[in-house]
Parts: sequence; structure tokens; C-alpha cells
Amino acid sequence: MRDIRIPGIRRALRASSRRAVDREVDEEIRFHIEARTEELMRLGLSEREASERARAEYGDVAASRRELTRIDQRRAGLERREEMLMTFLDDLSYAARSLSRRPALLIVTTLTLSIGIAANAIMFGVVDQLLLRPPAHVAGPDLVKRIYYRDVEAGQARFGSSTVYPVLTALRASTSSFSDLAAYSDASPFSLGTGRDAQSASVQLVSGNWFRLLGVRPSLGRFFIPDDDVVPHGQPVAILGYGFWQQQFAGDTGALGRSIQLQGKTFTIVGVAPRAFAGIDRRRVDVWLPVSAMADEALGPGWHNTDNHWWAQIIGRLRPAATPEAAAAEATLTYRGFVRKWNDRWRDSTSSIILSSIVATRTPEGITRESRVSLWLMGVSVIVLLIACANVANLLIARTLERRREIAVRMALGIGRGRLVRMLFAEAGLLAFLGSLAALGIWLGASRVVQDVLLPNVAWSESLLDLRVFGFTLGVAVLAMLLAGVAPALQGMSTRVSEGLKASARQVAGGRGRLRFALVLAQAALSVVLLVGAGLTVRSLNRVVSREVGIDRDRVLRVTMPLSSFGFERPQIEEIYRRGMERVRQIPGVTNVAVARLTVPMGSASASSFSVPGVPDQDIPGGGPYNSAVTSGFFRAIGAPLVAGRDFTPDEERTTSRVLIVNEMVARAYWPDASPIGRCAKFGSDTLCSVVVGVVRNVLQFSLIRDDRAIVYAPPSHPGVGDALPRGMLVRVAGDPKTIIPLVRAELQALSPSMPFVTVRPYSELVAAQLQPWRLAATMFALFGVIALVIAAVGLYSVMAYWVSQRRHEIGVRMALGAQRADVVRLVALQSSRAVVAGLILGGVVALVASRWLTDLLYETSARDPVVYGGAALVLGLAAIVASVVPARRSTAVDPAQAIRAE
Amino acid sequence: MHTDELTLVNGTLDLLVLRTLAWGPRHGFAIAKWIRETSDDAILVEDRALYLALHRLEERRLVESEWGLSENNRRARYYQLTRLGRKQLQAREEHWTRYVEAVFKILGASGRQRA
Repeated sequence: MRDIRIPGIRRALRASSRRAVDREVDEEIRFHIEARTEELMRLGLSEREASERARAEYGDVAASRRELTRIDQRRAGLERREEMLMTFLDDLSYAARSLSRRPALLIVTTLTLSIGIAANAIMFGVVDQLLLRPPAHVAGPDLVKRIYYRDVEAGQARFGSSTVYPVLTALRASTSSFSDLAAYSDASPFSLGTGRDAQSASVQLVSGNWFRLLGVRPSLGRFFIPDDDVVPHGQPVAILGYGFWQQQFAGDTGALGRSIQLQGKTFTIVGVAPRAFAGIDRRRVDVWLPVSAMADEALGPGWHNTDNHWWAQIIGRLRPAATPEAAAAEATLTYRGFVRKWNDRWRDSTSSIILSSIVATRTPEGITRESRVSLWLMGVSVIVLLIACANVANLLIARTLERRREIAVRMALGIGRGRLVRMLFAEAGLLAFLGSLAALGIWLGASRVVQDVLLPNVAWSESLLDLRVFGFTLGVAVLAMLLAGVAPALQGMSTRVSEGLKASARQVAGGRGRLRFALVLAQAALSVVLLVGAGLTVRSLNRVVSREVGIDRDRVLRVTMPLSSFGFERPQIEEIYRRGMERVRQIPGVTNVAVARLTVPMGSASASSFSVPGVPDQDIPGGGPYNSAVTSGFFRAIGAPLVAGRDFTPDEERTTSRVLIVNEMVARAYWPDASPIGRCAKFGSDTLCSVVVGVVRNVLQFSLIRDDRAIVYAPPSHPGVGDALPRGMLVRVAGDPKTIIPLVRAELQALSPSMPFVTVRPYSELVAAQLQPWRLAATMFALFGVIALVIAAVGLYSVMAYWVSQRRHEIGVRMALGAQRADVVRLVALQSSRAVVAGLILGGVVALVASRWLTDLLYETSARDPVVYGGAALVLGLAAIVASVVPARRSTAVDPAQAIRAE
Repeated sequence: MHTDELTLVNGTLDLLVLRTLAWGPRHGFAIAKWIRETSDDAILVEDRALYLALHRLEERRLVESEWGLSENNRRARYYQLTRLGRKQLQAREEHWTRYVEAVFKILGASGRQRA
């Protein structure tokens, strides 16, 4: 027995507790002095003399005691630690040997565990970056606050973060809690270069102190200084994003001092931002420009003192001594001054400023939808881990049962219970360790993919090996070990010596398997929960995707070009659109082309007056009616069906015509009981009657979901359209949009050497960002659901296989007594189906309760959709049948004679 | 105190202790007694220093200790060499001998010169 190792015994007999060490030192010194005293007495000294001399010879007894104790304590501590390490290594190597006896099960179990751990690590990485971590490279992020405005509209609190530039100026002048206040715009696409080679770059306008406030250091050159950003005309200097610098200049340091052309204006490159710096919103930014260097072009002259341009996002750095509450109160006073001045119906005297963290997805309203989905998925990955842990526990319980005799022997030999538990936990620990190693591999390979696929708009931190995620994974592994180890340890502890010694390898008592079947039940239940989640989210994704929005999303391209901001005048713009339409029409694969003014789907929106004689003005949800001027064939081009009446004619397009087409929403609001066709309505500045000639299906305007807008369409020749310029071209294609997009862009950019970058995007792509949360939820739920199902099936399989192997004798007897194969299969199937059915019921109930919280992630799907629940039950049932049919069939292969003899 | 008692050169006490234990386990008192008697009281070792040396040697795993019964049936802490201790003893003895020989050579040579 390895416990009877001589050094171990010696140590075990040695004093190791602190008090024992003290006592031994005392005793040793006393013995010495007494022995010397006796010796001296034998030489003829009196007892007193002898004792005094002995002490004198010894030296300072108290000091000696102190120094000896210190040494011995140190040594005893070391020995204790060594002893623990030795036992630990012993347990571990024993666990390794014992587990390697069933390699297939070991591998499968480790793999399932590693998937559970990796899922957690990956989801933690996502949640960590979205919800917990401040933006990269920001110094002292706790002191940097983002300013939000809390306004009340119709009793409903509303939060916003955009404001006008004068608010920044006023806050700087009238608050003392901030050491610095800076503004920035949302990143938006700018034309890089002009003409044929024009490209698009994502540009963020920032105030001159923005980088200084964040405390970011440039990786090359310099950042903006306040002198770059002088109101109203700043220096034409630019800072490149790291990725853009790599991509456009191949990381050449010579890029400094070179110039780039943005929106037709030339800027000198003065610096490069550090790698992975993506501002505060974690969106990819290619170039930063000082606000004042571009504001005239982007916002119009007088931008710095107008209250009309709502673009500025404001951040402030608190002075270390200032409290956020005091700062918010101060800022609110300033803001209320503006509220009084604006005197609009969206704000009142309770409007206030709220300071919020700069962690990107946290806002005063709570967390964003994407973050909420990731939190859900974090929870889901915990469930996957639990299912995997149940597998490990199952494997270990089986091992413990097989070893009952051995455990009993050890207990008979006096091994402590604590030691026994440690031994059993060592196996769980080893599995958890192997599992987390594999998980680390999966994580390295998959985490970036998951991040990019699921949340493509987020500029993720670039470092792959992340200490926080690593620590989290470690924690998860330990948790897994404890979870998986506790059941087998209890099982091992409950082993009775007498019983264990008597037991043969055969497992007789049925009660022994109860714990394992309970685990199978739990796995089945959790799998059902995930499958239901997957079913619900997939179903709502399908509903969202297949929603009728009045546009053939995969067939229609939206073409926009910022011509006015590039200095093109009205006649030139009309000419570009006219010639552009002709050219684009020639491209093979293009079937229809139309041009829209004023309001363009997923583009601009414009509302002007609309009235119907005899009908009071309607307050329509979503505002409006919006107005749009479209060429004939516009509806055919985008695929919006006319539900009544007719389209505009080419004739009406050219010669002044007072005709209108309204969408269903307008029709319902103004003519709820009759057909609007042939009715009179007044459009825009026009005072005469126009005739409604058609009613069209509602067309997607801003958002895919529950966001229909009332829109009135007129031909471009309608007097009410005035001198509205074309805002976008709609192109319908027959072939693959991907191949046609560059052709359209090339044709249009070739129209003039000073053409800006032409943005051509299919509507499917324009709405993709809106689909993202749904897609994210559906993909991940489905993925995790399948993983959970497989893991649970593996668990069921291993339990059934074990159960059958333990019943070999019994099955042999039954078959010898004339039982048919079918009877035996039924016996096995009955055994597994009991646990699975119970799991199904339990899981169904849990899912019913839990899905209530999923409701706000669902779209037109009931959280209690019976199809989904039925489907989940069916899928799990099928998996259970597959998992138990193999062991069941194997059981019938038992040769009765052999099975009975094996006893 | 006698003026001709020798104080110990650094590290020498360790060597003496190891040497003493070469013949078998002894308790601290026996070691002290042995050093005193064998050197004819020439080497003065404070008992405190001896115990300090013993415990340090034990910490360094050159000796190990165990409680046992003394000649007159009292519990005493017995020290004995470990394998490592035995090796150390051998190495140190060799080193010490070479060192002493070298010192003697020099002393002898200078003595002759002066003569």
C-alpha cells in the first residue's frame, strides 16, 4: 500500500502543529539543562551551583527558544506543504491511471466538458467586452462620463445623447466639476478621393481636446491639439485609425505628412491611433478629423452657434474631487437654460442631464439589445456547462461504483474520509483540467469567429489571449470540478465497508442507479429548455426575415451620392441623375431604375404639409405623413404592390401633374371608410387639389420592425415638390446583387472626375444590422441547443450502456428463462424512457416559466408556441431513442450461458 | 574563562556536529558533551549555538530528529545524519583537511624563513 511509505510515516509521527513545535523546543532545552545539572552535581557541585552553571553554559535560554522555534516552525510548515503536494500528486496519478482504463468514455466526457467550458469562456469574452470593459486605451475610464439628456414626452421618459454644439460651449463655460469636456460625432461614411477611384471611409469628427480627454496616446505622430480645432475654421489635419493605416499605407511611417482627400477636401495626416482603438462606441473608425475642419461642409456654415444640428455626443472628464451627482446637477442647470430657450414640446422643466459610464453598451435606459442577447446566451452557455458536468458526474459515479470494493478496502485500512473525498475529487479535477485545456484550444480557434459573425459591427479588442477570460475559464473549470465531483464523492462516502467488501463486480441493488438517472433527467430537462429557446428564437427570426416590407430586399439596391456637399449645383445634380439612370439601365442584370426625391426608403425622410379637404389633420403614429417624389416605375422597381388604383405614367413624370399615390397607412388615416381613389388632397406648398390615383403597400422606411410610416408620393413634376433634389436611385436587379454593385458604382463615378464615392447597398444589407439581435439569438440558441442535445445523448448512452453491462447477468437469466429479444429491448427502453419523459415534463415546465423573460427577444411568436414545445419534445425523444437503442440491442446479444457463468 | 579556549571558525561547528553524529543518533546534550571532552575542553561551544546549528542542519535536511528515550529513561530528541548529511560530512571533511594542510604549509614555510 502506498500509504505505508517510511518517510511519510516518520513525518506523520512528527510534531507538525504550531503548539507541538513550541512544546518540543521547550522540552529539548529543559532536558539539556537538567542533564548537565546532574552531570555537574556528580562532579561535586551543589544543586544550586550546578543548575546556575548549566544555565550559564547554555547561554540566553529565552533567545535560544525563540530562534529554535522559528526555525522549526518554518520547517514544519514546509513539510506540511510537501506532504499535501505529495498526496495531491499521488491522488492525481491514481486518478489518471484509473480514468485511462476507459479511454473512449474519458475522451467523450472531456470533449463535452471542454465544449461547455469553451462556450462559457467565449460568451464571457463577449459579455466582458460589451458590458464590463471600458473602451480600449482610455486612461482613467471611471472618471470619463458620457452625457445623456433625460426628457419627458407625454409622461414618458426619453433618453438621448445627441445635442447641438452650443450646449458644449455652454457646459465648458458654466461647470466646474469637469476638467475637460469634448464632443464627437457618430462615425459616418465619407468619400475618400473623387471620380472613378473614389472609396468610402468611416470618419468621426471630434473636438480638439477629445484625444487628450480620453488619455489615449498615438502610436505614430501626434493627436489633435486644441489649436487644430478652432471655431469656426480649424486646421485640415487628420488622424488615421490603425487598421486604415495598415490597409491604405501598409503601415508605412512615411504616411505622416502625406495628404488624403475626404469629401473633396484635402487633409494632412498628422498621426495614427493605437491598434484596437475604436473610440467610445467600439465602431470601426478610419479617420478622425477636427470638428471645425469639416463642419462647414458636413453641417453647414454657422454650425457652431446654431441649434439646428443635433450631432454632438459629449463626454466629460470629472475632476478627481468632483462627485458625479454634483457634476450632473451643475450640467442640468446649464441644460435647462437651453430647454427654456428652445421651448419645444419634447422638453420641460424636469429635463435633466445624466452622467453615464462610457462602457459602450450601457446607457441610462439600461443595456442595449445586443448586450441583452449576449447576457441570455451567457446564461445558456452555463446550462450547456451544467449538462456537460452531469456527464462527468455520471462517468465518475460509474467509476466509483465499480471501485466500491477497493474503496471499502481502503476504508477498512483506515483511510480518512477526507482523504477519500480528495481522491474522488482528484478525478473530477483531472477531467476538469483536461477539459479546460481543450476548451482553451476551442476558445482560441472559435472566439474571434463567434465575435465577428455574431456582432460584426463591433470593433473587438484584438488581443486573443486575455487574462480576464483566462481567469474566468479557470474559475469555470474549478466550478465544473466541484459540480461534477460532489455526487461521486457522496456516493463514495456512503460506501459501507462490510457491504463493499462483500459486493461482487455485479451491481445488484436497483437504487444505486437512481442518482445517475436523476442526472439524465436533469440533462433532458435542461436540453428541452435550450431546444425550446432555440425553437422560439429561430421562429421569430424567420418571422422577422420573411416580414413583408414593401421592398424586395435581395433584389433592390439603394444608390446614394452626397452631391450637394461636394459642391454640385442643381442643374448638374439633375444631369448626373438623368445620365446615371440611363447608364445604369444599360448594365446587364439591371431590370428597373427609379429615382426618389425627399423621402428614400432607409435613407432620407422629409415631411411637409398634407391635407384632405373636409378631414381634420391626423396625428399619425410615427409622424408625417412623409412626402416623396418618385419617377414612374418606382413601385415596380422596389417591388411594392399597388393595392388599388394605378402607378404614375411617364407622361405625368414629365409634365406638371397633380396626381398622388398614398400608402395604406395614409389611406386608413384619412379615408377610413372609403376608397381614396379619385379623392382630392393638397400636397406640400401646392394650394390646388391633387387627385389620388393609387394606394400602395406600406414601404419600409427606417426600421424593419413595427415601424410603418405614412407616406404620400407625387411625381417629380408635381408643383408641391418644389425644387427638391433627387436623393437616391433605386435599382432592381435580376442577377446576383454582389456582382452588379461594383458595376453600378463604376458607371456613376465615371460621370465626372469630381464625383464622390457612390454608396450602393442592397436593402438586405441595410436591414441586416436590425436583424442582428434576432440572428444572434437564433444562431446561438440553435447552436447551444444542438450541443446540449448531443451532450445529453452521450450522457444517456453512457448511463444505459453501463446499466446494461451491470445487468448482463439478470438479462442472461431472463433470456435463459425464455424472454424474447423484444422483451429485453423493452426492458432497457423502459428504463431510459422513464428518465427522459420525466425530464421532458420538467424541462417543459421550466421552459414555460423561463420563456416569459425571453418575450422581448421574440417577434410575433408566442413564448408558449405549442409547435415549438412539441418540436423540442420530439427532437429530444428521437435523440433519446438513438442513445438507448444501441445499448439495448447490445444487451440482446448477451449469451445467457456465458452471462450466468460469469458470476 | 580560559583565554586559550578556541573560538570556532565559521561553519566549523556544523562540521563538528555532523562528525559527532557519524557514529549514530545522539541527543544534543550528548553532542555537547562529546565535543567538550574530545577536544579536552579546548573548544568552547555555547550550548545555544550548538542547538541553533542542529536545528538549522535539520532544516537543511542534513540531519533528522526523532524523540527517543535517554540512558536514564527520559524523553530526549535524538539527531541522526541523513544520506544528504553523510555526503556533506564527507565533502566538508575533505575540504577542511585540504584547508588546514594549506594553512600549515604556509605557517611552516614562514617559520623557516624567520629562523
